[in-house]
Amino acid sequence: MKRWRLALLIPALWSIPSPAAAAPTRPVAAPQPSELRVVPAEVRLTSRRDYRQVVVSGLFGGEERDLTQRARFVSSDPKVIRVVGGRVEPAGDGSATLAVRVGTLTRRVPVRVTGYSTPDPVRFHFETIPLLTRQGCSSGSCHGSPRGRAGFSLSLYGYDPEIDRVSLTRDGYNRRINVLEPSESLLLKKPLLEVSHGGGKRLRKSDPAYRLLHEWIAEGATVEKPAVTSTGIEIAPGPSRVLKAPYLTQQLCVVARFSDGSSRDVTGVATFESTQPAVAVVDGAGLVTARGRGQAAISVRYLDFLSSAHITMIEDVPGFAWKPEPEPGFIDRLVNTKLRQLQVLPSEICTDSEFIRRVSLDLTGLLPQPDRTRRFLADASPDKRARLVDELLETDAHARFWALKRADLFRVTSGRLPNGRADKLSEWIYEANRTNLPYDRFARTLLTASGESADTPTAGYFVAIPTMEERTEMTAQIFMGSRLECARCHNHPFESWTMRDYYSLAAVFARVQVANKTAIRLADSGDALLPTTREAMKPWGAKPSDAEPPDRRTAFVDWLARAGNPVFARVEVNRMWSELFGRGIVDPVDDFRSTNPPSNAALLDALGLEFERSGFDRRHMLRLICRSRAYQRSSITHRLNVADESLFSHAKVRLLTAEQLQDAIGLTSRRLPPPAPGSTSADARRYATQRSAPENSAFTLAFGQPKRETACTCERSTEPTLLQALELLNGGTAFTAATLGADTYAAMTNDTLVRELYLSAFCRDPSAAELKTALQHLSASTDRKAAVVDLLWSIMNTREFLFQH
Amino acid sequence: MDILDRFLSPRQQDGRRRFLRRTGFGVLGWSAAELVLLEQQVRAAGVARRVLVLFEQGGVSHIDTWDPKPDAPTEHRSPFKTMSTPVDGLQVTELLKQSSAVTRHLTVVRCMTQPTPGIGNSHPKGSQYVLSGEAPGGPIEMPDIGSVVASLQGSDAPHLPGHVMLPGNSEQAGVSTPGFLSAANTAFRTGGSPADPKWTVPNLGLVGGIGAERFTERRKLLASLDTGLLPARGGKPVKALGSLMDQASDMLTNPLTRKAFDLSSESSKVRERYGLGHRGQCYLLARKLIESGVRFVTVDPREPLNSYRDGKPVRFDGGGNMNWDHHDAIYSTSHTNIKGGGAGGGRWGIGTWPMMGSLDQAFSALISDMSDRGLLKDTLVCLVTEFGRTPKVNERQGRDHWTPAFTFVFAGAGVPGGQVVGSTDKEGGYITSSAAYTIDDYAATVYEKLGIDRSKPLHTPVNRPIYLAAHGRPIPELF
Repeated sequence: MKRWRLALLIPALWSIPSPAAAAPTRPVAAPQPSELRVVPAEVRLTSRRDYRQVVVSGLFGGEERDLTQRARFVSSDPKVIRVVGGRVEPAGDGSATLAVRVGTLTRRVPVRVTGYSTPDPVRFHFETIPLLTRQGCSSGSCHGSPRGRAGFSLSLYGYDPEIDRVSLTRDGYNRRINVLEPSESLLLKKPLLEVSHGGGKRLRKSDPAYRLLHEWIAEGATVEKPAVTSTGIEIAPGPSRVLKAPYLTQQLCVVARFSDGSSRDVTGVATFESTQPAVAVVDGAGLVTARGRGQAAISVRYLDFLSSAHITMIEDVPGFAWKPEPEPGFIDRLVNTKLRQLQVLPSEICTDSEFIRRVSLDLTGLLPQPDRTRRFLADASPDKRARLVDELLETDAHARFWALKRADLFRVTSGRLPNGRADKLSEWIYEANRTNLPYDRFARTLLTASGESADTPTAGYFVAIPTMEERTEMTAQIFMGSRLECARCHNHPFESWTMRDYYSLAAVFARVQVANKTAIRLADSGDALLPTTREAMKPWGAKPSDAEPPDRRTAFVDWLARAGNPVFARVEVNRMWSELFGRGIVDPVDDFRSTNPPSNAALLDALGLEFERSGFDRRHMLRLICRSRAYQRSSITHRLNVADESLFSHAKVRLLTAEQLQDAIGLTSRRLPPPAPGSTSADARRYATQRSAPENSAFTLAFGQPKRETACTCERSTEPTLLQALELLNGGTAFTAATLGADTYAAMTNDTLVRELYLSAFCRDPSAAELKTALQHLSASTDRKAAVVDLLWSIMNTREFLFQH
Repeated sequence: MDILDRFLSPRQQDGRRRFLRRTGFGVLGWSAAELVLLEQQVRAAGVARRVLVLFEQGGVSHIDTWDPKPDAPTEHRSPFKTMSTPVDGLQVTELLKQSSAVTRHLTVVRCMTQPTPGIGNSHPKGSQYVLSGEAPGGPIEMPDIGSVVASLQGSDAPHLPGHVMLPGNSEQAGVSTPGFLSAANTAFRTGGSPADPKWTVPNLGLVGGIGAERFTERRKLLASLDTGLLPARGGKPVKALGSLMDQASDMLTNPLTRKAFDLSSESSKVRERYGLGHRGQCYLLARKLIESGVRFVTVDPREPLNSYRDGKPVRFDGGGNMNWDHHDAIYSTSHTNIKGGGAGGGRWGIGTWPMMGSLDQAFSALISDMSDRGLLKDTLVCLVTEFGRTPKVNERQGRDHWTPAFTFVFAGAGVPGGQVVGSTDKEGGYITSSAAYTIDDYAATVYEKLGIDRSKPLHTPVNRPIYLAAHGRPIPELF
């Protein structure tokens, strides 16, 4: 399948500064491994410039550690091969043996060298271009930006060699390349800073890159169209490694495969980057060095290919001792395994009050009714939390609230789906939730719908997305967890999506047409053309031999919505997880790529499998997750998990969403705010979390209610703003609710009033100190109504109220 | 004189020499790298702390105002007389009679041009271009210049927003955007008309009947009850909301907030000097906000149909849309609604009070007032529009959109006074000077004046690097 790759912008959540933040030390004496492993098992070098980086691992009690830096390498015949730091270089044609020694263990690797005296000019497409990426020349912030920099323009990470050829060998008055005097070429003088260069020093004469570029120019700067294409890369020793003192380095080796079946070591021209330099850094030779506890992805780019090695660095945390606890299901087992590995101690289980408030908000969007809270708190049976989860999952409110989230993503608005069509699609989504429609059928129904969206509400999905490009990008974002839009104009800078992939996916939707702005019809013709070559792309999911199907979407959905698809189930369970924990296992939830790996891959895989095994039963997954101890942890942290933000060792404190907050204010004041005048929805359900369309009032907009303009959950901003503070302190919603609600409360005795208010707002009794403060406030006032208003207002402005915890 | 000077007008030579003197360069050609260095030098010399943009939207006719063409063919010539100003070589039309007195503070850039295809016919796109400094339609929607500045430099007055738009009418609301920046950097639009004696800014006063005293009491009660979720437990967002609540409380109760928007605190003499109408009071309020420490103020003063003149209510009959889009009857002495008219109805003629009459008075008052108060030292004032208008008068006695040449005017923050930059041909159609500047160059100028390093990109939420005014270079004559 696709190569899910790269990322530069992983949120800064991965490194866990250790309490005793000390640089890793390197003990001198190391134990002897039980076994030595060397990759590759044999080496073939086919030209004078060929080389091969060897990676040596030792087995310690079943775990592999990198020993490349510690091994001794001996060539059996220096006339055939030389070895420097594990890099095997040819010295002449023939056969030889490389001996790799660690302590008393030895491994022998046979090596054959051929073609030593045959000319092997530097290849523009396979060496020069990746080097320009490696030195940073063709990055988006330098000459790879759409207009280049300082008059010199390259294609972004070399996606279009033709642009680069013209730019290097023709533009700039031919000054960039000087074949007669290579060192006079601007291509070398600029990055060496021999002449001024806005990008600073990017090259040293001692760099292998300098030697290669110089050689390429000296050989005439030839740009011959290659007879073969590169088909992929492989990273040795494998996709993930654990580093633990004293073994704090990891050598990587990158091998490119070509269409003629050959392969070549490209470690020297590939580009390495660490997503978490606080955890691990990587140098130009592919040597990773651990820096601190945590997880990092090392991205490796070669031409269009992007792949990652996932590095976990573990170290002993002073004072850490795992406390065994029940692990009732696979979720807790896998969450705890990761916590133990990285030595993070989870928080305690939350209180009943915290649980009922949290799970009600998460599953239904609403604070629980005071009576329900009272019953729950009084219930002494051990399974009351599980029963509450079951009860909430069966509520209408749950189906409505989760339909709202989905309709946000689908951009369901009356502007796009006029005359009641928006409500019909919302209603269909709600109905799917209510009847727990299996998610594969949900996706299939939407993605293959045709007809008038007034009659077939599901056709509204495509009606709401007018262009082929947007359909491609939104569908990929929602169902495949990928942000594809960059690949519309150039290969994706952060992952392996190429323009070819993009237009092949676009081809699926090329014949989907919107008729009368309200209906979906399939056209007989229409293609997605690759912009660079005008080539009509084969639709995604179709085999090359396939005849044109009546509906290209069917083949795509056959590929997508099935067990075994690499992303479909995992993307959806990850979304559910993120809704419940405030953070995805992959985060952001629509940014799956190898350089943004899951914080707990085993957990995500197991959840995906369980989702497939259950027949894509969403309610089953929600039930499993909400019943887990991981979900029920307190938000109170301690020294051994305060820094963790991605491993789910404690609950995450989150601001309520706009709708949740508006309803919470209504439920607490016991007077619901009416829908805003001019609300776009015909649907006047009482609660904002239960309406099918956002009302986008000043209040809800301030709290980030989306206008449904994009398919990104990032449309809901979560960072608190000044506008929110103004709305809370001075806005009409809180003010009106407090004023109206005061009437209900003012009729109660002071003691009851405070207790009822706390039950509504926080699902708990007031503490003695709180009760005292509140009672004093009430009795000190001469104007009872005003005193009650002020108390309500204050309670609804506390952070315990505004946040979910 | 070096070689480059042969291609420049005397004014440009001056500007360039000043530029070189300041930057310590006296080289022959300018290579790209040298230009980068030059820009860096300029940045060090950046002196603006605040920016005031007067956005006169709709496309002000340059040939009727700052770039008079007395030798144009009679049938296309502006009826307004050309007059000289105290500045040698600078002439304006009589519509700028009062402003001519402040020309020693101004640089008039007559060689603005807007070559991006497809934008010349669209006011929304043109307006967005001026507000954001980059032609819309690219892969990323750029934030307003003011939003960028507010996000990078914050505010000198925490009780006031960093980016205010006065009053900000609904047409511009659609194109004013914080783009990929946080919504917190959205332009704060006051709405309404400061000329209206009953005008107040919504959300800047305490809501219905809650006096400052009761509000303070409430805050005390809140503080004593806000103990259930301490910042130590919830981390960053909990802490952040706490400090935002404090800041919001300050905005709501700080008397300086009100004062900054309270025109009644100005003497009647000052208020009259600006003109007791919509535009004049908008310009005055802008000066007050700049004085109070707002970083970036944009005035967008389209005259309302029901407005004020000399402090009295007035209705500009027929003026339902009084921007500068004079496609019809540009020289009308009242409204421009003519029989068989086109897109130019709903305005008033360019020579009338709600148009150039109020602009001339307000602009001249603003410049001399700011100069008297020392505000020009560190405030960059920019008088801008989307484009100019055609040198030829059309069959409906109007002038249509014209992008090849138009005029921007600058003052303050080290902008040389009494300077004209660039020139156009005798009909005002095309630029004849070697210098020509785009709206991107204007944006680059604003950033450089503020000392914002354009070589450092901003990043979108998906980490795409975005350079500010990426297609522009600072206008050297303004430094």
